[in-house]
Amino acid sequence: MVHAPVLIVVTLLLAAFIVPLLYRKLPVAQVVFLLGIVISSIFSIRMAFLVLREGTLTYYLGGWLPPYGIEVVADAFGAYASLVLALISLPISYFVVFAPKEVNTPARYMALILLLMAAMQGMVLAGDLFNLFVFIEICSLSAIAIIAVKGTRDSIEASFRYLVLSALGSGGILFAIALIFMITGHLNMGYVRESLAVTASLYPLNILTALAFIFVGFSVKAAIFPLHVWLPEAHSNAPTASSALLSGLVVKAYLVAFIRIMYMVIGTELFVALPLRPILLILAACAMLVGSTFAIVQNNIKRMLAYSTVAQMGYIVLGLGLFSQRALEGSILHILNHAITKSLLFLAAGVIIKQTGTNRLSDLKGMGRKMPFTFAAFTVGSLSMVGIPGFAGFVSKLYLALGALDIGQIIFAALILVSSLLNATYYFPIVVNAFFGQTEATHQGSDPRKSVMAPLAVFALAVVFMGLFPSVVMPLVRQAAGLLQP
Amino acid sequence: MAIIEKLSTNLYYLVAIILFIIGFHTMLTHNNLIKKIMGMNIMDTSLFLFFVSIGYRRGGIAPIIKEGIVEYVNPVPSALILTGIVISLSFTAFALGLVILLYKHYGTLDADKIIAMRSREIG
Repeated sequence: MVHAPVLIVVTLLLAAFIVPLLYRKLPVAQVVFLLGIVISSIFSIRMAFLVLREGTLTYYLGGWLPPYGIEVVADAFGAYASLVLALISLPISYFVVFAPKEVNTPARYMALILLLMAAMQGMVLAGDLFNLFVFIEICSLSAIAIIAVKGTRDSIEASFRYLVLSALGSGGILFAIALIFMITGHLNMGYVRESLAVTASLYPLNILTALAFIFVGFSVKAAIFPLHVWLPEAHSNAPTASSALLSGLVVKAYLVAFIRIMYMVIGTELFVALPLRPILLILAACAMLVGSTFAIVQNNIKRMLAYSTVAQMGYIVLGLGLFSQRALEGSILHILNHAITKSLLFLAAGVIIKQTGTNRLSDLKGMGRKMPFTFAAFTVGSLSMVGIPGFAGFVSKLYLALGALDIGQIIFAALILVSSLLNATYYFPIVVNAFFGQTEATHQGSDPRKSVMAPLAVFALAVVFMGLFPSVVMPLVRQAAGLLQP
Repeated sequence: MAIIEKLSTNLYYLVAIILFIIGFHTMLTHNNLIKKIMGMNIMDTSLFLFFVSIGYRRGGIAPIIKEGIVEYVNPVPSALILTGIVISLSFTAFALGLVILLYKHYGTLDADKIIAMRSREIG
């Protein structure tokens, strides 16, 4: 039995328990923190290779076989999501350690990040509904905590609002799990699915109610339009590294869990038979347009990025709604591409705010000449968000558009184009004004030291690399999309 | 009559759903932050009741096999809800902590007043 799937989570959890104990010796705590993230990432990468070569890995905790024991399932999709989480978390945790401190209790902050990573890794690998729920709750709590840890009034208010809505979402998910358990008597996803093949037609009301609750619950957590209301406040008031983690990874981890429930528990046949796809398509279209429109009118750089996340989540949901092979590939690839790009943008925005002391977009005119490297990184992120060829965002948008055309949905291909234009209208003015604004810069500021710039450079290179060589991850993406297809 | 009979056999489920709606409603419509947290707790409790009553059998005992007893309660939901209660507890504790901080900053527990204070500062 390969132990990698469970070791990913265990390493992170172990580090999460050790780090807060070392609060008096901060350098040691930082080493443990980085070690935890690096070791679990190594396991995650190793697991991705194993899954690619040998297919789905399953792990039985304590050697107890299902349906009694707890199962961890690393299929192509789970392994891919775990790989994305691991790769994105590496530069962000480097930033947490080396960037200027934004929180008063760095050891606790690092512990919360480790806990969050453990919960997300557990969530994308869980093979059991109740375990999934427990990881969702840990993830919610630690995600809220890494916002509140900043300690400002706004961040606490935002995190309270997030907590209330998140609790509603959790309630919905638990209710749905209860309804599914009621008619199947199992919690293991594989067994539930087998049982549902028979019982779903006997108790259609149960399964419909459960689906509705799952859908609403995960919509709140993954900020799918129109239940995204908590996101802009929460993501823009968090510390820089938290914003990058929340926007880049957390909302996606929930979406991955949702997709896994859809094909591992509900089953793709049922998913296609029910009118879920039109709903997803409409919500995605609204998210793409409304998110971008709200982003245009923002003057706070982080709020703008947060609204852009709402729009970009729309792309991922759109691929799920279209449900053709290439659209799903685009959707799954966009999970990675958006995670890289948005982490880059949030880190760059955090550095800009830290160095200039302002978060207003109107104050950034001419600042590009003062801090060229930071704004260069921001520009790379913007180009990728808009979908310029040669950058990561282009590839996934292309796949989505081709996927829409494959099933004759020209209107959604056009929608992707329109939404990209909208993206351009709020990303490009920042870049153009920063570098070519005629007015003299009104604020002081310079590029930060090299160790702070390193994660930005890594993400910027990754954006270009994914734009030029998407074929590196495509085998895994293709397998993952194949799993979702009936 | 058929409806009443159905309701009486599924009384636990009915009560759970009513509690769920009460909690949900309290959480979304009340301005007082403490009442929101109470709503959250009522909602969670209703889910625990729902889950546990799935496994309950009238007259059943804990599943320790004894002679002469045929009816056992399904232990799985009860075991799960033990975890659920812990999660709900930590959510409540965390939420209350945030409320204390909010009260320190704003001097009120009314969500509307907090929003009004914020918008006055921005505007």
